[in-house]
Amino acid sequence: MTDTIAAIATAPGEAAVSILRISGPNAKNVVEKLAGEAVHRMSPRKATLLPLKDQDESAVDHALALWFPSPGSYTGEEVVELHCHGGVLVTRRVLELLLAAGARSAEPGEFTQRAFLNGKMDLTQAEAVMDLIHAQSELALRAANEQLDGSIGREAEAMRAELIDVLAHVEAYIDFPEEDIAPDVGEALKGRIQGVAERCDRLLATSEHGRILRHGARTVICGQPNVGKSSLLNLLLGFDRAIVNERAGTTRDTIEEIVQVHGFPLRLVDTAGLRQSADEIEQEGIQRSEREIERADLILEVVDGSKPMNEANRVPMNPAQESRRLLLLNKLDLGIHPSWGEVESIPLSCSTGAGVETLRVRIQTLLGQSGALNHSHPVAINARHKACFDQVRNGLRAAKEALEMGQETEFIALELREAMTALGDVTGRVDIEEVLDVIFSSFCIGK
Amino acid sequence: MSDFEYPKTYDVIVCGAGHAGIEAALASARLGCQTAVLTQNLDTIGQMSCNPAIGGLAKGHVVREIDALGGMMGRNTDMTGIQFRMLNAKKGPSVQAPRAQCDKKAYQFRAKWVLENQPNLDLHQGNTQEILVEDGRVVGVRTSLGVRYRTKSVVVASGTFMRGLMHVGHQNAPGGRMGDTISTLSDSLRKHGFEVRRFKTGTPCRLNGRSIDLSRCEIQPGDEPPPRFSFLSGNVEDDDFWFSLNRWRPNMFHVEQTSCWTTYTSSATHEVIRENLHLSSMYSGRIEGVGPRYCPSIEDKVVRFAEKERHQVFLEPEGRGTNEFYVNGVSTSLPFDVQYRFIRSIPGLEAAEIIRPGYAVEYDYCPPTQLYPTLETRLISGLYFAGQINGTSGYEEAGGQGLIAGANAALKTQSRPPLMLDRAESYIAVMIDDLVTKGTSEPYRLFTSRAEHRLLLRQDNCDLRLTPLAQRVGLVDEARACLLKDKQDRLGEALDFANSTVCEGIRLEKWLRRPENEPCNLPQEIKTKFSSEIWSLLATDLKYAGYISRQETLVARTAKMENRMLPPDLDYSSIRGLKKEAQLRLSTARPATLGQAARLQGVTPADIALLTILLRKGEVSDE
Repeated sequence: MTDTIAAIATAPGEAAVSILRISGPNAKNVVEKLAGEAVHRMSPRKATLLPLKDQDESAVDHALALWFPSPGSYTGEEVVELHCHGGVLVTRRVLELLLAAGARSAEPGEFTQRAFLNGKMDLTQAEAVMDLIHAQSELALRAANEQLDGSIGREAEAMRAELIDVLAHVEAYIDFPEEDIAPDVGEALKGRIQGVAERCDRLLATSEHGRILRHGARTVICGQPNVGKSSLLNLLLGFDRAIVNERAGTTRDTIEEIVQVHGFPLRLVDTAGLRQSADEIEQEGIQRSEREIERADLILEVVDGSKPMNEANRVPMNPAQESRRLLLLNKLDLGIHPSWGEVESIPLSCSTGAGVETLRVRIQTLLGQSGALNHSHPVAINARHKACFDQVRNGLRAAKEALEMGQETEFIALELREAMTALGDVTGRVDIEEVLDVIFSSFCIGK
Repeated sequence: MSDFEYPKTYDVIVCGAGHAGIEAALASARLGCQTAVLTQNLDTIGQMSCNPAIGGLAKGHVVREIDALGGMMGRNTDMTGIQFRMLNAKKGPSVQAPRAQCDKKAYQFRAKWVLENQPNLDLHQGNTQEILVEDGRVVGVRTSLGVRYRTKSVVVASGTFMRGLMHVGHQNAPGGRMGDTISTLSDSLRKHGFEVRRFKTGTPCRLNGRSIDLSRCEIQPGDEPPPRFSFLSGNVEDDDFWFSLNRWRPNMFHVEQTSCWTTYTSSATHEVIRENLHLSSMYSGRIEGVGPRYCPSIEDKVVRFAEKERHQVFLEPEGRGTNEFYVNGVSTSLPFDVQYRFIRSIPGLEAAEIIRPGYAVEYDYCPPTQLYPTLETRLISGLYFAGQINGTSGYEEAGGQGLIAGANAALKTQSRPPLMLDRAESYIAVMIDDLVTKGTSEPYRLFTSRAEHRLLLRQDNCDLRLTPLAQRVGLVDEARACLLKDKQDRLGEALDFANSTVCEGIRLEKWLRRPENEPCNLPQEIKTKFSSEIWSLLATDLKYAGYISRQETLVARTAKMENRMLPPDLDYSSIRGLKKEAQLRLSTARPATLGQAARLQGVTPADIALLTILLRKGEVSDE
């Protein structure tokens, strides 16, 4: 941790301001190579205007500089932030100059890693920051912020306290057979375990939502050829003008695009297939489409609403898939055929844009319904947490089963302790002293 | 007056002859070291200052571990016990534990006799006042009479005697136990740089049994057959000493069991106590030491659990040759007249005569984080602590530490590697690791819940777990080693037999695995092939094989961390990124391994991750 790193901190693209961050023991020296004597005018945490020049002394930009002396910075190291005039070329040029002046290009997440290693944040916070960096939408950003504030921490803490309570009953039953106490056993104990399991389930339900927020809801547009799928895609992309990124997948023909719908990122999958002309769609393409439907969070089925309803033209789906599907009757401008009558659907016109706002609202409602998008609820947004909570739930389930099978209490305790250990990875280890504290405050032990 | 230098030089001197001191001295002598015990009173060797009982959950496990390591506590209990029970007999195999009431006097006189007859061991009456140190190494001790004993190692097992202060109501008097004097050794330890703090404990009054109306109490008989503590009992011949009350020989263990009795406090009891709380030394702020939460005084119970209408009281005979009864559950520091009144408000005790008052005692202890896992002090080479000086409570906890401290004091003089047990193989190790790693904020007692690998630490497999190690070190004699070998062979044979025999239409091995089957219900012709001990061990191993292997997997997973050594001179304050609290905890505790570090309170997984990264990056030397 002795070198100095630099990176563009703001998202790439045209913007009013872009920020470059330099961290490491030589941060100030590196900037001095661009700004000259002016760096000595900087005072801690105050904005200073610095002229930035290249090796030939020609002006590159005027930047506002913020200097954070070690250890009072994000990474705990010497940090300088340069707020440049936005613009891809200028920003990139400043970064090149910083690298030429002795900084190293930062690896993804390296600032956060340094912050973690320098004790500026704990593991959960560091992870939340990583999510912040990867956040693809405003809601994901809010979720990440909430985690930093510790709302997930609070919920996990509550679960931890309940679990300690359960263990206290179990351990008191085991360790104090001669005492005149009545720790919960049997049904009462089962009820307690069930209570913790339910809390765990609620947290787990939110993790699915977290995935959607971070990576986008996998969205498939399907339907017969020439019903307007490509038009819908272009409409969604165009309407929002909010393409966050566009990247090639592992195969040349899968391109995933992300659009935002009322704050939700939609990851439109297999759009390459949609862009192919109808006669190119072959058997393989259909199979792939079926796979995508199976994995999708949101299915947009497009039909030609101006033609009579015909089951043969529909995309076959099971009830689970249907619950994630919105049926779109395209070509509203040509008039919707009366045979569609009572079918739950959204009439719209990809050519005029009529009905699209209704679609956006319905998408928001559908994705919000998963029980997850209740803002009062803590948001478990990352995979590590989900893995931990999965283990917690497995432990609780095993404890309940052991109890139902009439297993001896020490084996129920074993399962509960495994749940406790898993939870400890999120909330911090549970020391047995905490369980003993509860035992001695709840039960009068004293033979 | 000039000092007298005792002409004999010792390898190991043990200060104190309580439950820790006894095991320390015997372990050292068994290892061939010239050992001396110094005690301020030869008549109180192995005295049970509080209740006359040995064992219970986790504690009974420890006694059997001590026995498996060649110690005397288990045999002494078997020889002098007057009531034996197996606690949690209806619960699972790893949480069953034996408990025994002992004849208090028989126990201690037999203990003295065992010490007197141990080769390499001398007894001296003397009150150790000073630890003699040269160049950071212990070289001897000096008694209050000015006698200097030269030695290479010292084990201090001072019990409650260092600056002991006893309280009854608002009166107090110096003493480690009612009727005995005090030790000023802690002054010497303080001078040597040790941190010394105060703990408190208490004991109830004792009654004359003739004044108790047992017809108003509930009887609590012993178990038949009596469970035993020593793996030798019922296997080798017993001794024929005066105070050996019970008889055994191969396949026989005979006890004349005496009953205990239970009754309850009444609302009148609670009223008397509440009215007089201001007279309790504890509630009037006269006691600075911290007492144990699991053993509160009756004052404490009545206040903290005010909603409880009655508290259980156990009446336990102190011996076969005495009428004295221990009144378990009403430990107190109230004035004598209040004790008298509240005792007489308890059903069955309306006419009870108190023959010894209850009292609280405060004493000095040295926070055990000042020790290595060998129980040697970090400050002075060759100086070891065991028992209540380390902030523990309980005869069994003391005995377990005594054995380890005594063995290590001896091994050090022989330049041999120390004896260190693993948390996954013994309760003694769980206790010692807890103590030296985390310290303790109240008198420390073992509970089975403290062992994360509880399922492996059964009371029936202590010898299988620990005797082989003790044999390698030289702590057990030939007889015990043979006995173990025989048991291991029989177990192997029994497993083969179970795999090749049919019982009630299925393979015997399968029959034993079924939860509804118990080995005692085996057909006679099969049952007689092996002893009930072997059958029970085999059945448990088979029935719980799934759980046992899960626990073993866990042990293997943590073994890597346990083996990852942290440099002893590591400067934690220089590690950037460690949180302040973690730096502080680590610097104080100086964990030997990463595993130990991870168990420290205030050290988070993130801190451990950081240490792991540093170890891996080589920024911290592994060597």
